[in-house]
Amino acid sequence: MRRSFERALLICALALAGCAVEMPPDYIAAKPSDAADREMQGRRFDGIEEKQLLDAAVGVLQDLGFTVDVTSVELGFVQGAKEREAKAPDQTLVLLIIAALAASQGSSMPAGQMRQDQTISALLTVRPVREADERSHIVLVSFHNHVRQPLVRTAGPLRDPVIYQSFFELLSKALFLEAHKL
Amino acid sequence: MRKLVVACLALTGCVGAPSVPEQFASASRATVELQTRRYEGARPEDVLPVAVAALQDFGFQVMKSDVAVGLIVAERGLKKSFGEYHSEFWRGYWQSMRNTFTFQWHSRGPNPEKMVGPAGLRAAVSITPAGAGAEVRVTLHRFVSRPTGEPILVWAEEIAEPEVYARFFDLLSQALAREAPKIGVTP
Amino acid sequence: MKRVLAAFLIAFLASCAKPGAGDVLSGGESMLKLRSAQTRSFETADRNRVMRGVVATLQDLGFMVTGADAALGTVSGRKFTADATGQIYELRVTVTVRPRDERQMLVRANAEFNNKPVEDPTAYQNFFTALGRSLFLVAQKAE
Repeated sequence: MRRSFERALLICALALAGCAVEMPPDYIAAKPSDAADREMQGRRFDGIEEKQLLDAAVGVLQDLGFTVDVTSVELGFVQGAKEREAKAPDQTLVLLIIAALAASQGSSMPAGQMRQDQTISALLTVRPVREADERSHIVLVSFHNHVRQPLVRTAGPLRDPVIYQSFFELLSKALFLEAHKL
Repeated sequence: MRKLVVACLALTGCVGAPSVPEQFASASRATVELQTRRYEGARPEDVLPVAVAALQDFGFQVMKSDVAVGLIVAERGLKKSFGEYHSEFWRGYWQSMRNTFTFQWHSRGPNPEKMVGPAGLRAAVSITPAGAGAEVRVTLHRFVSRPTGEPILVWAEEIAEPEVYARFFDLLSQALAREAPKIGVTP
Repeated sequence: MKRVLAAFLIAFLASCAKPGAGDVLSGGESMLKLRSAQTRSFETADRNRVMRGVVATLQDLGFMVTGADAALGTVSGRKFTADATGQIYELRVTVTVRPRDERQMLVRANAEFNNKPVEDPTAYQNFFTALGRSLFLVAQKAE
């Protein structure tokens, strides 16, 4: 039984070996919809050093259950990820926390975004608003997910504005500072 | 009689000597020589970016790096040719046929996962100071990760073909020669 | 019956063929062409500014940053997308920033789409256009 399954897999692999998908060249290019995304993903913080912003961001990500993989003070960014195996129901998923936050504000999260066996990654960058102004920064955060269930496989950016809004609320609470919309 | 006993004991001593498991056997001198090249008059920190550029030339993606240690780990996909798929498939097929007819039903042919998952190539480059120059050692591995695409390896082997290492060092030497006026290297 | 025998003969011969070093590390002229498509220079001496620009550009283009080494001048990014059928596409990119001389930075990007190197110059051109916009500098051909 196992043998024949393996054989079937092999034949599939042989059949697929011939056809590779080429990447469309505009896959890397900037798109017009990016401006709207930027509004959702970015906030301005005034009167704070970049280092303090990054420290607070690491704290918020950790509170949400992310493991911080890469950080660079020189380059001003933090990258984290949250893995969730299918068999860990007691773990709190970041989206559960955010969903709770969202529910308290009278919004509901689509159930489809709380699937198990997924990786959620977060990238947060700090950019200066103006050159030579060291106390005013733009923080841009982007969340991506990657679901790897046998039948449900999706990947891409999370586009629900509630997630981003909740994240920035947590960040401004941690900093005791107001987050200004861009 | 006593001689016989001593001889027997001596023999058991030989048999009983613990042998190093295959996975932990140190690389042969020939392999090390294949993987190592010395560049006189070059500082390791100058060679590092040139090695990264050489890896980029071969299409590698940098996964990890540490300037203080002098280490770069890089990966790239390895597209198998149709012929390679075929030859591996049929080799596995013959092996399982042979196993069936020789009643070795429990032994398996080549690992089928080895063919099904995405194949890749991993390079680890370490650059250490050696005398007045730098010593570059590169090890290359072929690997196959899980068919579902997670970065979990199911199979890996070290590349032994000398021409592969020669190609890498040819390119690195050329690149270092081009940079020579800046960093003063004599390969 | 003959056909079956023939198939077995072919299979046997195929199993004898030993795969060589083949594509493991190939080079040649296409490598040089690709290298120049992947490289641009920027008129600035500030390496950190260019590297920050690279991180920002990768984020704007929907990448996650999987590694960065400010001392060596490398940034690696990765992006997953899926189409309607659930097929996952993975795009990986490594960007290096090196000083070319006292006034210029050399930026090189190489990308891999689904385990296969990206060889289309337009894709790299698009990346450098976005990088130039974020740095307020013009990307110049290096050679």
